[in-house]
Parts: sequence; structure tokens; C-alpha cells
Amino acid sequence: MQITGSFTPQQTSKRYPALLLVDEPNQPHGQLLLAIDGHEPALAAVTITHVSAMMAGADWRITLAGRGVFTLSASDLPESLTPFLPKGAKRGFFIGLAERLRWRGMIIVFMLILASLTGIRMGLPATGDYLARYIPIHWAKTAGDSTLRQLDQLFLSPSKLSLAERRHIDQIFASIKAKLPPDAIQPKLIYRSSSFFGPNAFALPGNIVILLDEMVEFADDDDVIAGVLAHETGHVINQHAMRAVAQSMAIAIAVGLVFGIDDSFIEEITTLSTSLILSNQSRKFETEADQVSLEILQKLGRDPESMVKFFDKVAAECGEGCNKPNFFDSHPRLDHRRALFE
Amino acid sequence: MAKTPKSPDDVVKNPFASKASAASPDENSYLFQRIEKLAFTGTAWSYFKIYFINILLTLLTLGLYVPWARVRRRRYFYSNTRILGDGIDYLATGFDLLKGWLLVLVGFALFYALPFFDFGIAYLDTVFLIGVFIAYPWALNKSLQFNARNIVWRDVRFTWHGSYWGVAVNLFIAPLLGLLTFGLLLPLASRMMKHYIAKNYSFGSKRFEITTNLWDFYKSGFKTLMLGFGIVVVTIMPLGLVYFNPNIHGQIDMNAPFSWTIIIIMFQLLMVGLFLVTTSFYRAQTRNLMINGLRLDDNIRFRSELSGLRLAWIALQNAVLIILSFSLLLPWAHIRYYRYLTENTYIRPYNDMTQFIDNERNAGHSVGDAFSEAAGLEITL
Repeated sequence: MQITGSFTPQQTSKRYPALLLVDEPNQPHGQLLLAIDGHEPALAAVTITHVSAMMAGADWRITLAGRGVFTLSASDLPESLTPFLPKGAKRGFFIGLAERLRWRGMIIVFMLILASLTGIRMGLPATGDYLARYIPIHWAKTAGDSTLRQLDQLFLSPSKLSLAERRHIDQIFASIKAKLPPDAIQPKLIYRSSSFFGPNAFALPGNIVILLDEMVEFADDDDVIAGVLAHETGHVINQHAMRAVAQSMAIAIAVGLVFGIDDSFIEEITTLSTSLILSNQSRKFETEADQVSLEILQKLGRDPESMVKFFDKVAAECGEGCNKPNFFDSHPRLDHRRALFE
Repeated sequence: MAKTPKSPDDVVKNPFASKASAASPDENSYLFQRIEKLAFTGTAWSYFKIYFINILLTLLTLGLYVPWARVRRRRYFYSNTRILGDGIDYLATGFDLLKGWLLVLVGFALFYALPFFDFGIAYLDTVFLIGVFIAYPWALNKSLQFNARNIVWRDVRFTWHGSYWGVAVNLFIAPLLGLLTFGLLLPLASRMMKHYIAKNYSFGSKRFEITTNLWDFYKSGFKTLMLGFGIVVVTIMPLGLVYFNPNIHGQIDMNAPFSWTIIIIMFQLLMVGLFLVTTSFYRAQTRNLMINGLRLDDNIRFRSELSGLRLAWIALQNAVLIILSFSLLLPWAHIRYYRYLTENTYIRPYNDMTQFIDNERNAGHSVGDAFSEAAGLEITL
């Protein structure tokens, strides 16, 4: 059998018409011969050391030991060459064969892509939670301390509450801590003031709860302050801050891994869905913290209704905008949160 | 008595022997002035399959397949690009790329983990970023070197001869200066970039050479500026008329957040479109200048006949179709763009290009390549 192609001597750009001969008349079985037109030797026994992996539209690049390259344009390698291929060469053809799917096969590929995306989407938050559990507590402390230091430099100023006021709030906080399960993480309360954040309170990694003067002033009610502190305590005991960090890390790494293929439009889509996933998780965390808050208020014998009034007050402050649902919001809709305490 | 080993000629009939020993191509009287078009044999459908199978396998292997995916993509484009009928081969394997890819991943992980450690050094992440910045030219240089050694036509490889400072000055500092001077030095920077790239490639043992005229680059820059200005006038003017026309003005409630949103979105779309059109136009113009000034081994010349407007139109259409199809048409868009580039590139060969010899073998490592890919750096001819 004659296989028509062309031959390039090693490390040159010369090109000669050439043939690979298998089982020609008088040729011993199991011998591969190369016949070259216009180059010496005109006929030589050769061995194949490498074959390029199958690729749509590409010529086959067959490397012949010590001689050069035989190039063959065909969609498939001729069967007769199979005995002469080096070990493992056929393995390189697997992907090439997969890439020959027809449109029905491609529909299956698409379904598999969607399925794996869904799997990753479901698995990521869980992976983040799993990672968060293994982050040593002193790492979390370091992260919390450095965040607090940066916040102090940029947005926060020392609290202007009087000692009596602080002592009073400390008592409320202690009563909340007393109602936590015995094995729960103990939060630490810190007072600050910030015109930038306004009436607010937040939980940092390292179990820190920050209460702003503006919040105390805005709430103006012990039950509400208890509710807010219990909410932040809910974030702490459920390790929301660390879990959020771990989840965004997991997502960032996954995005980097998967979409490192191409700098393309897909990257934009992933960035978008990343923030969607993160905001969705964040809303879940807020609801969870609200539930802890409600439970503690009830255990303390305080009035959950005060939180309803508080949400009404917040709603009155920010007008219609607060109730517009938005997929990128970090907090659930105000009326949903309000309904929980009713 | 031992048999003397027989030459194959003694037994098997030489299929070429009947012809009166064909002339060696070197001695053939190839037309000196022959101009050959580069061909691209890829199709949207076959690349579509490669692209999405790459995505699937990357997802299923949680990213481990990325180096192989890159090899598949590059090989597809290279081997379907044909010069005098022969495809270019990309010889790097997924394993070659894996090492660099893993190192870059570790770098990423370190960056994300940085806030968890307090080394008592302020702004450690800034220090890290500066480190990355300093590593850019190194990575790009190594990447060009690695890839050049893995690109082979017939059996001759390319070589990249650039250096850290050469890359830093010509490919990073010069364009930065171009931008900082509000584009005043941009044509100069483009010329520096193109010259640096062209002069530092060799095909086998022969270096590429280039001669261009700085004034031509400024002419391209000026044309691009005029084009951008023209687009702004044509699109903004009607908008302005709507806004200032007292008859129409009354109907648009500028206080309604809705109208503002629409205007802001329109404005952003316009800016993106403008950027796309002007950069494509400029790219086509400067590529033509570079390719037309390129020489190899004194006699081999190249020609590029891109139309700036046509390329801009393709880029704009591609962007719209990619967005509308949720990136399903991305492979099609890639192919279309690439095909336009290759099929408008010509070579004037000499001696049927048989005179080249390769003498180097070492391809170096793939760390720079992975780094540059991760940073989205890419140099294309």
C-alpha cells in the first residue's frame, strides 16, 4: 500500500513529494519504507517516533526517527500504519475523536456543561463552609484585627457614648450571651462612631461585633438594641464572616481555574454570576441572623414587635427604594425581614 | 555465510524511479515575483466543537484540563493556518504547560490567602502587586520564547531573542508613555512595539528584519482620530438635538430615573462601540505597516491588506452577536476575525522557502506562558 504525503528532512524547510510503503510487492511484512522524490536515499526503512494528536483540518505530522517529518493530509490515519505507531500514540486521538461529534453529540455536551455548572454552583458555598471550618481561629483573629485597623483608619472614629450608656448596653449584651448555647462562640462587643456608615452595626471575622453610636441614637430603644446586637451575635455564632470570605475565595479560585481558558466574554458572565451567588448567600446569612435575633429576644422576654417598629422606621427613612427586590442586594427585602418579627 | 544486508532498493521497486529523477525544488525556476496568500482552513463548526469540549472537560476536571485546552485551541488555529499550503505546527503539549499553570495557580492562592497572615508589614498586598507588575515583562518575554520554540513550519522552528529590559521598555513603558501623553506618542510607541517584536523573531537561523516610516504610523493615528471624531459627531449630534430641541425636550422627563438610566446605558454602549471600532481600525492600519515592512532572509517579503473599516465592522458585529447569543457564537466570531487577518496576508516566497535550517532545540519552560495567559497578555502577529 502506498500512502501519499510529503517529506521534510530534519530541521530544514525543504519539501519533497514522498510515499510511505507498507506491504508492497516483495516488501517484507512489518517493514515501513519511505520513498522520496528527488532526495537521497530514494528508498529507506523508517520507524515512527511521534505522531501529532488528531486535530480538525490539520495535517498529520509523523516524525521519522533520524530522518525528518512525513506530512499527510487526511482526516484519519490509514489503518495500515497502525502497527508502526509508537506506544500511546492512539491515546492522543481520543480528544480529536470527541471533537468530531455531530450536532446531536454537541447537544449532549451542552447539557453536560449545564449540569457541571449547576453542580459547581451548588457545591461552591458548601466548599466555602467546609474550608471555613478548617481556617485556624488565630487566622480569623488576624483577619478581623487587620480589617478593624483598616476600618479605624478610614471610616470609624472612637465612640462618644458615656460610660453609663456603655455599661447599660454591655449589660444587654451580657444577657444575650447568657442565652447562647453553652458551646457557642463568644462574641466581643466594640463601640465606634461613623458618619460614613450611619446607623449600623456589623460583625467581623474574629468574632467582633461593632456597634455604632449612630445606631444607638437611631434605635433609641433597649429592645431594638437587643434585637440588633442579637442579630450580629447570630452572624458571629454561625461564623458568617469567615464563611463569606471562604466562599468568595472558593468562587474566585473556581472562576480562575475554569475560565482561565480564555480571556473572553464568558469572564464577564462569571463575574456577574459570582456576585449573584455571593449576594444570594449573603441574604441567606442575614435571614439566619434575623432568626437568631428573634429567638434570643423571645428568650430574654423582650418584645419582637419593637423590631417591627424599627424596620418601619428604617423604611420611612429610605423610602420606596428599600423594598425593591434586587438580585445584587446583600440584605433581604425589608418587608420580608419585618414579617419575621411580627 | 552471513547475508549482506540488502538495501530496500534491491527488493522493492522504487515508485519514483520511473520518472527521470525529478528536479530538486531548489533548482526549479520558481517565479521570483510569485505572491501567495496565506490560507485558513478552519471552520466555525469544528472550532465550535473544540471550544465547548474544552469548556466541558475543564469543568469536569475542575480546571486541571486548562493547559490541554490551551494546546488544543492554539494547535487548531496554527495548524489550520497554511503558508504555501503547509500548516504551522504547535508542538507544546499539555504537560509542558501544566508546570507553569500550577505555579501561577499557587501564586493566585497566595494572593487570596495574604489577608489571613499578619507579617507586621503594612500594605503587603501592594508589595505583592508591585512584584507582579515587575514580573510582567519577564513573563511575557519567557512566554514569547517558549511559544516561538514550539511553533514550527515544515521542520524549522521560530526563536524569540528578546530580553527583560527590551520587553519592558518596548512593550510596557513605551505604550504607557503613549497613553500618558494622551496618545501623542502612541504612534511612536506602536512603531517601537512592532519593530521590537519583528526584529527579535527568527525563523530557523535567519532573523526577521523590518523597515517602516514613523510618519506612516502618525498618519494611521491621525486617521483613527478622525474616524473616532466622525463617529462621535454622527452619533452624539442627533442626541444633542433631541436634548436641546425645545419641542422634543418637553416630552422627555429628565427627572425620571428611567430616562437617565437609558441615556447612561446608551452612552456606555456608545463608548464601548467607539473603543472597539477605533482600536480595530488602528490595529489594522499598524499591522499593515508592520507586515509590509517585514523581510526575511533579504528576499522574502510579506504583505498585509487589511481594511481598517472592514476589521472594525467585523469586531463590532462580533461583539453584538456574542452578547446576543450569550457567547454561544464566540467560536464563530473568533474564526471570522482570524480568517480575515490570515486571508489578507500574503507572502512573496523565494526558492520555495527551502533554504532554512534550524539549529536550536531548547524551548525553555512554560511559567511565563501561564503567567501571561492569566494576565490576559497576548502578542499576535
